[in-house]
Amino acid sequence: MSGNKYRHKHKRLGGKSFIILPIIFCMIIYFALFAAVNPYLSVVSTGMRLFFSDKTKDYSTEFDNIFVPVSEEKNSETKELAIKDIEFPKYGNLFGKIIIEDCGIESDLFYGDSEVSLRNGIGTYNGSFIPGYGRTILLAGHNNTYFNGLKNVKKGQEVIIKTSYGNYKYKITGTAVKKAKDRKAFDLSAEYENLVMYTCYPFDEIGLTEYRFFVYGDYVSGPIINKEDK
Amino acid sequence: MGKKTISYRLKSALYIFFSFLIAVSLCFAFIGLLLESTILNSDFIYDNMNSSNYFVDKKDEINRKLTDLGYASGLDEEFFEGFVDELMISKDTRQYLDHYYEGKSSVIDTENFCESFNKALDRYVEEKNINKVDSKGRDYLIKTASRIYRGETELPFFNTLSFYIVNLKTYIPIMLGGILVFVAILVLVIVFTNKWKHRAVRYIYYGTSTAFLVTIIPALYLLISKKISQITISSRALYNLLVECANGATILMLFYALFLMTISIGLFILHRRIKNKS
Repeated sequence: MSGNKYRHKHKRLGGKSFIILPIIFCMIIYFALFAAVNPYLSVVSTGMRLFFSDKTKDYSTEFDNIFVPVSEEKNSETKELAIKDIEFPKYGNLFGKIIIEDCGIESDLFYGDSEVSLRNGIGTYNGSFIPGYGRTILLAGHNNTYFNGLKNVKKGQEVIIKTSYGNYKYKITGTAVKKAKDRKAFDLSAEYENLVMYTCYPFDEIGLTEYRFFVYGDYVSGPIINKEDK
Repeated sequence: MGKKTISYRLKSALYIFFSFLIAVSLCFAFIGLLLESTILNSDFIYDNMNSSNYFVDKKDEINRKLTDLGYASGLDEEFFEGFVDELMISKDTRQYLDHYYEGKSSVIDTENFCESFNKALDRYVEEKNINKVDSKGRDYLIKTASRIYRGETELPFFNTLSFYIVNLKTYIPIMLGGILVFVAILVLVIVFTNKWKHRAVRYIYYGTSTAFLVTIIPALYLLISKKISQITISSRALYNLLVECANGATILMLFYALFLMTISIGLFILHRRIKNKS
């Protein structure tokens, strides 16, 4: 009697079990999987965040351009800038223009000195500073392209750097040929605004060289960034 | 509760456990088959390279990097025009992949590249009548160029994965064979120890339909979320290759899931027929 009763009950549940049981099994398998990978989950999710972005990567452009020229009139009016009013460039951004008229140099200025930056213009050495910050600005460029004109550089010539927050002038004070790994060639810890540009040396030679041609310049004019004014 | 009911419940629980084992085994088989037809299949990556335009994109990327090198070493852009072609990359990549799948620790062979580069450099110096050539700088340039070519052509992490690939290639077929035998035994046990055949079919159905659910979830997630297309890789060639491989793997997952779904539907129909007859 009880057996018949059970069979009858089972008959009623039979149809549902075709759906419910596979779902329960599936949940058990995924739960077991979760329990197995749980200790590594934070590592995996951190890795995922490193490799995945919120949007699909755009390969049509190599860099973002944030450079909007400032008129000379507005530039001459501004003597000091609050740090909060400046849009700091991100690595790889085109953020300005560099002009050395006497050497025939007029090129885009990038933040960072990646291959892409140097392919398209002059790069700012990672770890140096932006114009107006009151520290060392270290710029790099290829001697075969954008910095080829540095071979004609002379003491006293003017360097203009235009950014979205102001235009800056520097005066060339000297040049030197030094080894690429010579850390005394520039001082990134200097507490005053100075410009250092470098490229491979000798110019127009075939082959990779360990020497660099350094050009030094002093700050002349341009709005100073007030780091206190946040 | 009667003895018969207890025994019936125990038997049911045991068969349900067998169904679960079938499901887990089929999931492992799914992982094995997926690996066997993707990363462990030497043609999979190479075929996807062809279909994702990898060699054309890679050629452009290598030429761009070599041109950058040219900018720093006194070489014009025209020097690198047609210097590296798709055929050269394709041939070197094929050889590189084959070596890995054969278990040899291999790197891209740059001997041909260095030879061609050296000859092209001689021609260039002669044509342009260049006097300023530093032999040390020239050697360094050739070495750097070949390093760029090798670095660009090799697949990232492949060197590290090679060891696991070789080991998996040995063990996965054994694992798949073992799973197949295990599932067959379970099915036979369920069929021959059940008086009512429709019940046996139902227990097998539980296993296959669970495996279907387990496999369809990641496949649908990959298909709907399009997560793979959001991966950030600076190389366009590698990005396209990875997306192509992931899409291929997703389709395989869907096929496997659909195969399991078909079997499950078949078993469901069979269950109904046998039950109605009895």
